[in-house]
Amino acid sequence: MGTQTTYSTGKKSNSLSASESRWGYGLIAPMMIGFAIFFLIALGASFVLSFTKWDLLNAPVFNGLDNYRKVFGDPKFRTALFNTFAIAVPNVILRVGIAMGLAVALNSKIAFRTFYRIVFFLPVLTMPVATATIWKWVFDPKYGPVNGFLRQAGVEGPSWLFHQNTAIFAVVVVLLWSGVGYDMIIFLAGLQAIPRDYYEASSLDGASGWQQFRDITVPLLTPTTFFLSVIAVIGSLQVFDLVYVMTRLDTSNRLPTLVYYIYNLGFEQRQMGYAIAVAWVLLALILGFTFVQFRMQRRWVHYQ
Amino acid sequence: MVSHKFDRRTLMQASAAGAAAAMFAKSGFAQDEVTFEPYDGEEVTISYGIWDSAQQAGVEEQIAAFKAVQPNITVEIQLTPWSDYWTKLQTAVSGGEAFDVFWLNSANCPVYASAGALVPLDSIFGEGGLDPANYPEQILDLYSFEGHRYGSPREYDTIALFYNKDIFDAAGEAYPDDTWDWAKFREVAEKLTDEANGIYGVGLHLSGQENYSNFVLQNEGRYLNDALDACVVADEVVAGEALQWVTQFYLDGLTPGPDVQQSNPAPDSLFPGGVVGMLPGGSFRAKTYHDLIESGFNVGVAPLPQGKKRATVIHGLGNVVWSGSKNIGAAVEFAKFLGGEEAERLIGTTGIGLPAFKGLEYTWTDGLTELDAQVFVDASEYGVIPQDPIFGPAWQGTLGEEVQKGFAGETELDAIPQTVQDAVNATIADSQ
Repeated sequence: MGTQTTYSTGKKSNSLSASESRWGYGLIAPMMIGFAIFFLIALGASFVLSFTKWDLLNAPVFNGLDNYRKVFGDPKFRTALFNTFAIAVPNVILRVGIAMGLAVALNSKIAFRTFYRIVFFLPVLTMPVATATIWKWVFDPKYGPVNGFLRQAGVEGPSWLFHQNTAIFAVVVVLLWSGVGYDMIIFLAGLQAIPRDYYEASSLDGASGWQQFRDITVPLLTPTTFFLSVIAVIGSLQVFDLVYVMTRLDTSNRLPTLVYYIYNLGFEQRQMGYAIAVAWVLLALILGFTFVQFRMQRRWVHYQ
Repeated sequence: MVSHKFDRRTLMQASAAGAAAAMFAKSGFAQDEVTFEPYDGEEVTISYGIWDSAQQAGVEEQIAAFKAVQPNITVEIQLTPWSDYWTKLQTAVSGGEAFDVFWLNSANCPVYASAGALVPLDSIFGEGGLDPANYPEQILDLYSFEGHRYGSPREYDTIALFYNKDIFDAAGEAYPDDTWDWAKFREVAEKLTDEANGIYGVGLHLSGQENYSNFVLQNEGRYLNDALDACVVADEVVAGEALQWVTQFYLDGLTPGPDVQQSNPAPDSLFPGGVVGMLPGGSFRAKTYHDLIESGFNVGVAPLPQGKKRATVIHGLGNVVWSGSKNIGAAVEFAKFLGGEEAERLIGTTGIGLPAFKGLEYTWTDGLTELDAQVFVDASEYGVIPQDPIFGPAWQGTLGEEVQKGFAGETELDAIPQTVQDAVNATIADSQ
């Protein structure tokens, strides 16, 4: 606002006056205080508690590295890890792929384009628990419409949400249904940022629609694709509410995922110290995958 | 100005240390001795933690009746749905912000009592207070731990056999009665089952309370040893036998399997939906089914069939007082009132359930004119309370999960007792 401050150089702090930086700190203080109280302190506390045995009611007792040693020999942890990846891998790949396809289709001039965009985006606005409750009914083995159709076709459908393999399939279908719309919108924004000239110029050179898609659209969308893959990997590894509701059976769960296992250990079995240790292992996994993704982006992401 | 920069590592260390210090110094944790001042008549507000919205209206009537006796104590209901209740309670107790008075189930009583979170309520019994002789012994035992009483008796529930008269009539079978044993039960279940029309002879719910736990007791079995620290389902044979007998109903298709009940639990949807002939169910379901009679649901109720002996699970909630409450005196007054005759009568008349106060059962059964609800009262004579170890109910979850694998055919019938026993013992080892 009329001061000499430059915003474009890397040495901003030197040109800020003391009163200006006080203002700056003051303005971010509400955010930072909240961040410190609800995130940093909780994070620190959870790290300390991950080295304890704690039942939530009695005082925690330090047990060194016991929790972390236990994680790697725990068959239930391995099951949860397997299920989580079995959901995450197809979910990430299909979600990004389908969303890109939809975005390209709905970026072209077709009739009822806005209507389709809204229809594909609507599930994103639906609460996961509501979504899961309805789909649980859709996949009901005896009274649900999926097996109803199959029965009319002469096939007796499986108990979708009861068995591991079919439950993974069903969960991925629902995750895609409820998540693809969001990615589609981001891709649409990405598509609109690609300059028209590229397509016009390539048309003059006689490029086909497919060649344009492969050589212009896909490469220029890679920053968006990268962003969405990172988000999708993180989200998939943290999958909980939808799977929890869909595959719950009485007091247990037929398709335990990592976050479910953390919840189960902490609040249902009251082994909070161990639960927190598993949470830190999950955090390490997510950090690891995100790190690898960032390293690999140099090979395939093109910034204009 | 650059020197203002925070050192991230220092910040992390400081927050971790601070949080740990706060954690261990927390006053919400175990106190050995709970002493409190009796209520002196001052104006206070106390909170009352409950989980069932369907009972809220009845509870409000109890609170209004209490207000007439103690005008200076205001009671605020804090409703937390069952699914979040235990999570909230655990964190609230350790965080020092729990309800002053709250509902507890027996499985959690030893856990909270041993952690020093509950006020012993021995003082509300005896002269000028509640007379223990007015309550079934088992109900008092449910909330007794190491020689102290922690719960003010509330209501109780037992299990009986609901049946769909239309399905019996269509099959030409006589309705269940008190002469039934296991063999008769199994025989009729087979006769009623009609796969072509989607009719199941019996709807065995997945939970122990309304299913296998009763049959284990009837076969003179139990889950845990005397010390409540090891599972004996295989070692003592009888419990394992009962589990296998129940499992056979699933394997033979006489009851909807766990896969069908995953989204359609028998008591909630299949039985009222008219595709299940018989349903072992709790007294807490009686009012719902009774109210469906008007709309054409032809339901009756009989005692559970008997095995080697008659037995049913008996359970009931207790009203307990939090030891960290700032108004323990007032909270204890309220808990005492809730166990007294006036509040107990409201348990029955508002349809909440069977009052624990002997002689008031009629207030509940009278409201169920079309059902022989007296069978639930009679069942209390042979009701057996659950085994509730000090390390909490996690073992029950494992038991249920393993038993259900048997129902689904994932565990060989012969292997069920040993598999269940091993899994439960593993959970017990983790819980201790």
